[in-house]
Amino acid sequence: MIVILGLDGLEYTYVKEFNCRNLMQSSFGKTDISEFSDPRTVVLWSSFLTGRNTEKEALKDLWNFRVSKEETFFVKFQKWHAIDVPGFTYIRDRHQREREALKKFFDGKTSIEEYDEIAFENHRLAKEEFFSALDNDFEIIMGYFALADVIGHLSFGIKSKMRIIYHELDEIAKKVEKKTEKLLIISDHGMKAVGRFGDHSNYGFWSFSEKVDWNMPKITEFKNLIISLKD
Amino acid sequence: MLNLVFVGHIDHGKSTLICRLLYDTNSLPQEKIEEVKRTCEQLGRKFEFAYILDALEEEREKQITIDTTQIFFSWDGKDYCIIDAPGHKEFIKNMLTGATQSDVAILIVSAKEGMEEQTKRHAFLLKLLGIEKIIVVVNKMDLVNYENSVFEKTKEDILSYLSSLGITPYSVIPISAIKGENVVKNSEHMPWYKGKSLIEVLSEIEKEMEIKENQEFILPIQDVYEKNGKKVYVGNIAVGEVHVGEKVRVLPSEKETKVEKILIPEETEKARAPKAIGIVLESGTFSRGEIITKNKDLKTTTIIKANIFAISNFEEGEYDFCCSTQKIPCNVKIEEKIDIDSLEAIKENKLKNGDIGRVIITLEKPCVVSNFYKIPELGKFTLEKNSEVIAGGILL
Repeated sequence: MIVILGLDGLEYTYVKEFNCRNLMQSSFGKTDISEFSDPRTVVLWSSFLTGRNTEKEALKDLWNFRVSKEETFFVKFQKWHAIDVPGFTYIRDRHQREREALKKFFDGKTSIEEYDEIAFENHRLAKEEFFSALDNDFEIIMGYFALADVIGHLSFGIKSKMRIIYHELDEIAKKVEKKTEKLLIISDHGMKAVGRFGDHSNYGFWSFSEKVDWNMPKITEFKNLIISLKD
Repeated sequence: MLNLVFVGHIDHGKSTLICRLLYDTNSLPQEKIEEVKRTCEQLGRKFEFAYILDALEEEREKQITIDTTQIFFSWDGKDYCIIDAPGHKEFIKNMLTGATQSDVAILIVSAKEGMEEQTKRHAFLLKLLGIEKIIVVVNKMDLVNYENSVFEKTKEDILSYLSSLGITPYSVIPISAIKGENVVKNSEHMPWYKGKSLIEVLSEIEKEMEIKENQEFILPIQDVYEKNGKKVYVGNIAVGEVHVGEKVRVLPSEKETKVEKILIPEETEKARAPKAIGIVLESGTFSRGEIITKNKDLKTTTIIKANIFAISNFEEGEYDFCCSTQKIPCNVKIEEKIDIDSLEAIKENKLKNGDIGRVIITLEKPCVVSNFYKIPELGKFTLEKNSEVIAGGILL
């Protein structure tokens, strides 16, 4: 089974600084997303899945944008599962609450505590769904976790807090490593601190369970790399 | 305020100890700590002290000056300042140029790893900088099952080395910084230790310093002007208090006189450090650079031995010795250079920017100086050429 862990907003420098060995795996590095005008979540994930830059189409209706299975690498697999992947199987209503809470926070209508609570609740759900799916007999499975990005938007500058978030994701990677020999961990973009807050950075993160010499691959190059992993 | 510096081997727990001290004295931003605790709770993770270390890092980043961080905390009505330099080079520079002053050094030794080369170097450094009050903390006692025998062995090793340097530590305390034992709270795991916790020892030293701070009046004359036919000597009181009618000495001329008037700027009966005042004396005529004092121990000298920190390339020769408001031509001879990494003394007659040297300064006329730790104002100096600072130093 090939497992893809899609970790939204996972920042390369924090993975290293917090010494997240499981997130780093055998090989790791940054991804090149310089061809995109802005590091936007839906655009980057749908481009990752399809191997082509979806920016033009996706920007028309960002959060409702969906690519078809036929365009993605999943089409090459008999039994596949993609949980909550933006631009594909995204659970819009679930994440809508996060986006609304972010807006409310900047309008002074909610606290960080309330905002975080929504993110943690969604994370618990994502974890539950992902690990129960892992017990099934899929050829390829992709799980998506928005925790680093959602918490990062209001707290990326608070290392003490982000370290806990990264350790949580590192522990998820550790559990997954035990269930597969082919694990790709990938983020759409990283983050940079703006005071206590966080903004998207212009590169992403990748790691793989085997020694490989992928030198700053473009996010659109992963489609073929994943297909090549098929037995 | 007690100024503290923490030194020791890189892995022996310096940051953890500083963080523990700040955490247990409620000196870290509580809001942030609560946020960390809440995050752990929400993710079902155990709260680890290591997470708080990042909060310390953030505090450091906020409070960093050119190359030193000063972190303030209070406990039991007393104020403390942790002086934290990124490396020992910056620390030496700041100390030798008098930019920072540490009253107490806390030397950290791991109970697990014992004394290491870096521990020895740092101990030598404390000797070089003349820090008299040294507290040794034997950290990571939790990793050696809180064994008294391990503590005693480590203590014996460190005391023997410190004694070879002529240092007698104020106290040796077994601690676990990560678990918070004998730092602020007493340890339940080390009943065999009957001494004080680190904060209790610091509080005791602070009390002693308070007594010492009650020093006799010293006023370096900064300027002189005339008012109603009388000379008014202006300056900042370096230490102590002065009253109208009191007897004072003026150095280096060694003349005795009485205080006729004190002006700040209106006439007043008394003034104390660190006030800027004008003072009218009953007799004598004095000039900038002279020192008005009630301190009977203050003496003049023409030969000074000191450690200096070169700010530019430094060669033996003629300089201006500048201490407080005194500026006196002098000749400087370099005895040796101290290697900043190994702290070994090397025979050398030139210093490069950043080097430390032991020098002998011969002054053209008498100058009033003091030990830096007794009277900082008269214990730090610069060596200047054409009004450009070439080196700085403190007097020990």
